[in-house]
Amino acid sequence: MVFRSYVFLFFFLPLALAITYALARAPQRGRNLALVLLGYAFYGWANPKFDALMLGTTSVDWLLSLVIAHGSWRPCGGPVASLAPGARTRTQKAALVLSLVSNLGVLGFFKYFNFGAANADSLLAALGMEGHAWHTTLRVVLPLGISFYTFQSLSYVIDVYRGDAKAMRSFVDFACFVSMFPHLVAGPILKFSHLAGQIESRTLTLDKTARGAAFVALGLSKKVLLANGCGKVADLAFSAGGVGTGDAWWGAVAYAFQIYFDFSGYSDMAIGLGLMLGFVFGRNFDSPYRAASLTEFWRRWHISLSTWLREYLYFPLGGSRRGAARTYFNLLLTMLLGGLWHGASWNFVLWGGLHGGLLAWERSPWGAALLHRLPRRVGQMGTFAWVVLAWVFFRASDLPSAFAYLRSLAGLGHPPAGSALLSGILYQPYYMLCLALAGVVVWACPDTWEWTQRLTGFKAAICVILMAVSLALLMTQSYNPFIYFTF
Amino acid sequence: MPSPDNDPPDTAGADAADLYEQALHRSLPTSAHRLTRSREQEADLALNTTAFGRGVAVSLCLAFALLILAVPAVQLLAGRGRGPALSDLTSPAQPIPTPESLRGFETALQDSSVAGRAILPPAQAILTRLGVGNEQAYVGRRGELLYRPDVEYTAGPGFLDAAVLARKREASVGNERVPQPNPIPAILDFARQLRARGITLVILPVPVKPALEPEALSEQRGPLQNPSYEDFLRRLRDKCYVFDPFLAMTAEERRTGQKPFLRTDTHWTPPAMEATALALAGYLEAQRLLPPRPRRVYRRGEEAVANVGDVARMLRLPPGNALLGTQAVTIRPVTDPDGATWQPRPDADVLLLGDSFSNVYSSRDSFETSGSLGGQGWGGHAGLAEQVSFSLGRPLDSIINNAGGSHVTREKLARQMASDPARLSHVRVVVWEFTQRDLASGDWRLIRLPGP
Repeated sequence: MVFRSYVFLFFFLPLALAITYALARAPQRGRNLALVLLGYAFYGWANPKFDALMLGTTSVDWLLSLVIAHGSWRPCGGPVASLAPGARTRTQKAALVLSLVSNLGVLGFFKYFNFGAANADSLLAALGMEGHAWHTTLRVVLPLGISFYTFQSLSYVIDVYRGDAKAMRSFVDFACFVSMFPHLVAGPILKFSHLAGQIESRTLTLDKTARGAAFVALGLSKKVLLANGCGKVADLAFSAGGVGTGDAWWGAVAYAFQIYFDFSGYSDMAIGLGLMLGFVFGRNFDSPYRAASLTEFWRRWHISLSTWLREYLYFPLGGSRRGAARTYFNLLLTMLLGGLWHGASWNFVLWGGLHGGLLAWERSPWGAALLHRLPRRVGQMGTFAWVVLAWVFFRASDLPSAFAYLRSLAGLGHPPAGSALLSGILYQPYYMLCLALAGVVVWACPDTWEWTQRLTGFKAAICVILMAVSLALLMTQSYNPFIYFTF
Repeated sequence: MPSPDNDPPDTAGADAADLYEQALHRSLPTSAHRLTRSREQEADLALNTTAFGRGVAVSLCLAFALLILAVPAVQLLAGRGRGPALSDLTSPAQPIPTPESLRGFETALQDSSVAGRAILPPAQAILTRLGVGNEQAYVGRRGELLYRPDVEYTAGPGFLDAAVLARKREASVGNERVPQPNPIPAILDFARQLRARGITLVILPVPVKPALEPEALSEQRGPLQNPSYEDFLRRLRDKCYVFDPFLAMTAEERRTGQKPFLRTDTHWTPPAMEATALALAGYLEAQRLLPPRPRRVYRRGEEAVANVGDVARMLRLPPGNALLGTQAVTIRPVTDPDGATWQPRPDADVLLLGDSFSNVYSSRDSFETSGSLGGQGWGGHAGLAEQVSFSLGRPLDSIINNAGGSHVTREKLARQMASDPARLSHVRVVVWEFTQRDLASGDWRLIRLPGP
């Protein structure tokens, strides 16, 4: 199920809110159980088999967290406490390794099996060993949101192991953390330590509900009114047989806007839905296209993912504490794996590499010196340009298409005659308006957090109008999921 | 950690930014602590110190509830009995819902929405004024409408490009039947099977509107073509007869000044179709593909027809919208020498396999009653089969299906041959008409014809 679908907005959401508020005075465990059931109904709507997978990984991590907490393969029924700093037993280490293997194994199989098999066959063919190629017809279907909830679950187990969090005694409470529907299929990736207290005790207040409604309204508007229009332009440019230079830049910028409004809109909706259920989630976007460096960009874009990568990958690799060369390597490796997390394709690896490379350069003495001297506006323009170019790898269907598109951007492409048709669509008034508005919102308007900090009657009316217009527009559109839905 | 829920700030008349700052200072007394504040702590402080009056909060919540409850409420009151039931999700054979049953349920739920049906036309009308179509249609210049797959075929990558074909095969993973995206093996295989029966195949790939009328969408002048089309023709040369109606259609446009395609429809105009039929007849005669036989003198009348284009209908605009205006054409229904309405003849030596381009002026039956065989309101008995028959002066047989020109008509032929082994006993030439867009988007599965 997706947030902008008819069945979610008009049937599932009212039902979920009705159940939540009907159980407002019920025992917390009962409220959490209701959320779990809603979460599984939400997730299983795409494919009921996905529920079994999520239940399996949730059960494994819950059990292993208790093994870690008690230091025994037979976790007793006693109270659970945070582990003290210090060495861990073999049992605890083994349980952690098991959790890592299980989560990454599941993620690796469902997400990377097809990619791995295809590349293995290609490599064998390149080595003249085609006879040994597998040529399997098995194609693994990617469960929705698996990258998000496995990372979230992993962070929980790691935090329990480190002593940063207390293991959850109740399976229902833990399942609620993993499966609550606002964040389930496309984040934000929630830190357990922030949510643990809220799972055990949270309040439903008028302010939270109203602010949540504002977030949902604005998030839906970002998706329907801005992302979708920009997305049509991007789709046309990227799916054409070739485009002229101007059309290529128009399409690339359109995609940059599409992915931002699509994902930040979804995050706003997730945060808003969380508020309406009594939860407070962390911020996930902070006007990233205003960043004056790529380092700053990654403090503003998909903050929950960059935080996760920093805490669970970059820091364990040594971070910046082992010298310059190792720092650059750690940055590059983290971003390469971050790219691979987004999708099983060399496009995403290259995208990650471009970001990692520039991050490493910014950390170098020459990079840091240049950034220090650059006027902020120049830094913003340069960062945006780099991000747009990197997005080409994100959007193109494969590497040859990505390079062909880059050649078009550089004026080196050879667009076929048919591509001239596209100018009749790309520059229609509606799409020009969409992109212009998108630019204004990106660079000149406060983001959702700031704008809703003080909600006047006028702002509330704007939220309602935008939501009504978005709902009306949704009626004219068929299935159109959020981009990050597929990760 | 401070808990704002236990000690809510007095928000009356306070500026939210001030409250937020006050909360920050209260929670973290020194700047050193503020530097180590996590984003979750920021979120707690920000979201728990929102400043707005109770009236605004209540109004916003009520309006939100109204918006999400209005549609199901209207459905309950006005749409009772319509739409799917929850029991549709399962069956005795499938007690657990499948992805297909869930998608079908969701689609049926949305399609049956009373509110949706009321909102869609005016919303689409506003979008159309801004030049936006929908998932099926593009709004062109001067009231022209174009079918989206036609534009994608013309402006898209080569349909024979290896990477494109590989992507299409990969995209079909998970479907029960893996579509075959490459048209050439299917065409050559079909030609070979017919040749084994002493029958010659002639393929007739009809161009699409954006290719011949790009000025309907942009400043570009035509004609345009998909990058793989020339390669397609080259690969079929010497292996198969190909009649490309492009020259006939453009010559007719120069002669009459009339555009070859309907204004708000995917299909060709009667003059373009008739010119194609005449040229095809000339081609078959020039290639000496048919045995000589006495010419039958068919007659043609004239009939004025006015209709709304299929692309205009796809937009689901409100009645009275300018784009829903009818276009008037003159069709020429064909009658037998004895005055009877033209009908396909199973003993004819020419068999036409055709899609909606063959059928658009042929069938008077409505689409609602006859489905894939039905007409589209542009009159009847004046279609491609009729016109070819008229131009050749001999009867014709036909197997028509409005969609799926890449495989449906071949499948129908195979089924007919399975029940009647003598189905093709009279046939010397099969003309296989399909739309060029099918070259990029069709399923070109290999189909085995029954019998020796």
